[in-house]
Amino acid sequence: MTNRLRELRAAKGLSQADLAQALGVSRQTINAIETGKYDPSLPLAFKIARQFRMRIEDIFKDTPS
Amino acid sequence: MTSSTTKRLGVGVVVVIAPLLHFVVPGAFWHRTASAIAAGLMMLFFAKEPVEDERVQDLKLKAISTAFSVSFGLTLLVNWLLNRDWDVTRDFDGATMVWRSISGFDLIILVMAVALMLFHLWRWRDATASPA
Repeated sequence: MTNRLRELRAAKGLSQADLAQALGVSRQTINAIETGKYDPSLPLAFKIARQFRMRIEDIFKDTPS
Repeated sequence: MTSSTTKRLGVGVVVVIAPLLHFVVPGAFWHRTASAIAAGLMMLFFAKEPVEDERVQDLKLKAISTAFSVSFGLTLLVNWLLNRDWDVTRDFDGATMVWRSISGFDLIILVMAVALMLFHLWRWRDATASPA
Protein backbone atom coordinates (compact mmCIF):
# COMPACT_ATOMS: atom_id res chain seq x y z
CA MET A 1 0.00 0.00 0.00
CA THR A 2 1.26 3.48 -0.80
CA ASN A 3 0.05 6.75 0.66
CA ARG A 4 0.22 10.51 0.24
CA LEU A 5 0.47 11.30 3.91
CA ARG A 6 3.85 13.06 3.77
CA GLU A 7 2.73 15.20 0.84
CA LEU A 8 -0.61 16.12 2.46
CA ARG A 9 1.01 16.87 5.81
CA ALA A 10 3.61 19.11 4.17
CA ALA A 11 0.89 20.93 2.22
CA LYS A 12 -0.85 21.73 5.50
CA GLY A 13 2.42 22.85 7.07
CA LEU A 14 2.19 20.27 9.84
CA SER A 15 5.13 18.52 11.45
CA GLN A 16 5.00 14.78 12.15
CA ALA A 17 4.66 15.61 15.83
CA ASP A 18 1.69 17.95 15.16
CA LEU A 19 -0.11 15.32 13.12
CA ALA A 20 0.70 12.62 15.67
CA GLN A 21 -0.77 14.73 18.46
CA ALA A 22 -3.90 15.46 16.44
CA LEU A 23 -4.40 11.75 15.75
CA GLY A 24 -3.47 10.53 19.23
CA VAL A 25 -0.53 8.42 18.06
CA SER A 26 3.24 8.75 18.38
CA ARG A 27 5.54 10.56 15.95
CA GLN A 28 7.27 7.24 15.21
CA THR A 29 3.94 5.80 14.07
CA ILE A 30 3.39 8.70 11.64
CA ASN A 31 6.90 8.19 10.24
CA ALA A 32 6.30 4.43 9.91
CA ILE A 33 3.10 5.10 7.94
CA GLU A 34 4.72 7.76 5.73
CA THR A 35 7.65 5.52 4.88
CA GLY A 36 5.37 2.58 4.11
CA LYS A 37 6.70 0.45 6.95
CA TYR A 38 3.28 0.23 8.55
CA ASP A 39 -0.26 0.17 7.18
CA PRO A 40 -2.66 1.77 9.66
CA SER A 41 -5.81 0.07 10.90
CA LEU A 42 -9.12 1.09 9.38
CA PRO A 43 -10.11 3.29 12.39
CA LEU A 44 -6.77 5.16 12.17
CA ALA A 45 -7.09 5.47 8.38
CA PHE A 46 -10.54 7.05 8.90
CA LYS A 47 -9.06 9.46 11.47
CA ILE A 48 -6.34 10.44 9.00
CA ALA A 49 -8.89 10.93 6.24
CA ARG A 50 -11.06 13.11 8.50
CA GLN A 51 -8.00 15.15 9.48
CA PHE A 52 -7.38 16.05 5.82
CA ARG A 53 -11.10 16.13 4.89
CA MET A 54 -10.53 13.53 2.22
CA ARG A 55 -11.64 10.00 1.45
CA ILE A 56 -9.44 7.10 2.55
CA GLU A 57 -8.89 6.00 -1.06
CA ASP A 58 -7.61 9.47 -1.95
CA ILE A 59 -4.85 9.10 0.63
CA PHE A 60 -4.08 5.38 0.59
CA LYS A 61 -3.63 3.40 -2.59
CA ASP A 62 -3.62 -0.36 -2.74
CA THR A 63 -0.74 -1.80 -4.72
CA PRO A 64 -0.90 -5.36 -6.02
CA SER A 65 1.47 -7.59 -4.07
CA MET B 1 0.42 3.10 38.07
CA THR B 2 1.88 5.25 35.27
CA SER B 3 4.05 3.82 32.51
CA SER B 4 7.21 5.53 33.77
CA THR B 5 6.62 4.31 37.35
CA THR B 6 6.27 0.72 36.15
CA LYS B 7 9.44 1.07 34.06
CA ARG B 8 11.39 2.59 36.96
CA LEU B 9 10.16 -0.23 39.19
CA GLY B 10 11.27 -2.77 36.58
CA VAL B 11 14.74 -1.22 36.34
CA GLY B 12 14.92 -1.12 40.15
CA VAL B 13 14.06 -4.80 40.44
CA VAL B 14 16.68 -5.80 37.84
CA VAL B 15 19.45 -3.44 38.95
CA VAL B 16 18.91 -3.33 42.74
CA ILE B 17 16.63 -6.10 44.06
CA ALA B 18 18.08 -8.97 42.00
CA PRO B 19 21.74 -8.26 42.93
CA LEU B 20 20.68 -7.75 46.57
CA LEU B 21 18.96 -11.12 46.58
CA HIS B 22 21.99 -12.73 45.01
CA PHE B 23 24.90 -11.09 46.81
CA VAL B 24 23.57 -9.70 50.09
CA VAL B 25 20.65 -11.79 51.33
CA PRO B 26 21.98 -15.05 52.77
CA GLY B 27 21.19 -18.35 51.12
CA ALA B 28 21.51 -17.09 47.58
CA PHE B 29 20.55 -19.42 44.80
CA TRP B 30 20.17 -18.67 41.13
CA HIS B 31 16.43 -19.39 40.77
CA ARG B 32 15.55 -16.68 43.32
CA THR B 33 17.73 -14.14 41.52
CA ALA B 34 16.42 -15.27 38.14
CA SER B 35 12.80 -14.88 39.27
CA ALA B 36 13.53 -11.26 40.30
CA ILE B 37 15.26 -10.49 36.99
CA ALA B 38 12.40 -12.12 35.06
CA ALA B 39 9.82 -10.06 37.00
CA GLY B 40 11.76 -6.83 36.38
CA LEU B 41 12.13 -7.49 32.66
CA MET B 42 8.43 -8.31 32.40
CA MET B 43 7.57 -5.00 34.07
CA LEU B 44 9.82 -3.21 31.57
CA PHE B 45 8.29 -4.93 28.56
CA PHE B 46 4.64 -4.80 29.58
CA ALA B 47 4.72 -1.23 30.95
CA LYS B 48 2.66 1.06 28.77
CA GLU B 49 4.57 3.40 26.47
CA PRO B 50 3.96 7.16 26.84
CA VAL B 51 1.79 6.95 23.71
CA GLU B 52 0.41 3.42 23.59
CA ASP B 53 -0.95 3.37 20.04
CA GLU B 54 -1.72 0.55 17.59
CA ARG B 55 1.82 0.51 16.18
CA VAL B 56 3.27 -0.01 19.66
CA GLN B 57 0.87 -2.90 20.28
CA ASP B 58 1.69 -4.35 16.85
CA LEU B 59 5.44 -4.17 17.49
CA LYS B 60 5.11 -5.60 21.01
CA LEU B 61 3.14 -8.56 19.71
CA LYS B 62 5.67 -9.15 16.92
CA ALA B 63 8.58 -8.77 19.34
CA ILE B 64 7.19 -11.22 21.92
CA SER B 65 6.22 -13.77 19.24
CA THR B 66 9.66 -13.66 17.62
CA ALA B 67 11.42 -13.64 20.98
CA PHE B 68 9.49 -16.67 22.19
CA SER B 69 10.26 -18.69 19.05
CA VAL B 70 13.97 -17.75 19.07
CA SER B 71 14.35 -18.31 22.82
CA PHE B 72 12.54 -21.63 22.80
CA GLY B 73 14.77 -22.77 19.95
CA LEU B 74 17.85 -21.69 21.91
CA THR B 75 16.52 -23.47 25.01
CA LEU B 76 16.07 -26.70 23.05
CA LEU B 77 19.62 -26.34 21.72
CA VAL B 78 21.08 -25.68 25.20
CA ASN B 79 19.12 -28.57 26.67
CA TRP B 80 20.34 -30.85 23.90
CA LEU B 81 23.93 -29.78 24.61
CA LEU B 82 23.42 -30.34 28.35
CA ASN B 83 21.99 -33.80 27.75
CA ARG B 84 23.92 -34.95 24.70
CA ASP B 85 25.60 -37.71 26.67
CA TRP B 86 22.17 -38.87 27.82
CA ASP B 87 21.73 -42.47 26.82
CA VAL B 88 18.24 -43.93 27.22
CA THR B 89 19.51 -47.44 26.93
CA ARG B 90 21.95 -46.98 29.80
CA ASP B 91 19.38 -47.30 32.51
CA PHE B 92 16.18 -48.99 31.44
CA ASP B 93 14.08 -48.13 34.49
CA GLY B 94 15.15 -44.48 34.38
CA ALA B 95 16.25 -44.45 38.00
CA THR B 96 19.53 -42.67 37.42
CA MET B 97 18.61 -40.70 34.35
CA VAL B 98 18.64 -36.98 34.98
CA TRP B 99 17.14 -34.58 32.49
CA ARG B 100 19.06 -31.33 32.79
CA SER B 101 17.31 -28.21 31.56
CA ILE B 102 17.51 -24.48 31.96
CA SER B 103 14.76 -23.26 34.26
CA GLY B 104 11.52 -21.57 33.29
CA PHE B 105 12.80 -18.35 34.84
CA ASP B 106 15.89 -18.48 32.61
CA LEU B 107 13.62 -18.93 29.60
CA ILE B 108 11.50 -15.93 30.65
CA ILE B 109 14.66 -13.82 31.06
CA LEU B 110 15.77 -14.80 27.58
CA VAL B 111 12.33 -14.17 26.04
CA MET B 112 11.96 -10.78 27.72
CA ALA B 113 15.52 -9.67 26.91
CA VAL B 114 15.12 -10.56 23.22
CA ALA B 115 11.62 -9.03 23.09
CA LEU B 116 12.79 -5.76 24.68
CA MET B 117 15.74 -5.56 22.31
CA LEU B 118 13.61 -6.22 19.21
CA PHE B 119 10.86 -3.83 20.28
CA HIS B 120 13.25 -0.93 20.86
CA LEU B 121 15.20 -1.69 17.68
CA TRP B 122 12.03 -1.64 15.58
CA ARG B 123 10.76 1.47 17.38
CA TRP B 124 14.07 3.20 16.67
CA ARG B 125 13.81 2.16 13.00
CA ASP B 126 10.27 3.61 12.87
CA ALA B 127 11.59 6.89 14.22
CA THR B 128 14.54 7.16 11.85
CA ALA B 129 13.21 5.60 8.63
CA SER B 130 13.29 7.90 5.64
CA PRO B 131 11.18 7.57 2.48
CA ALA B 132 12.56 5.32 -0.25
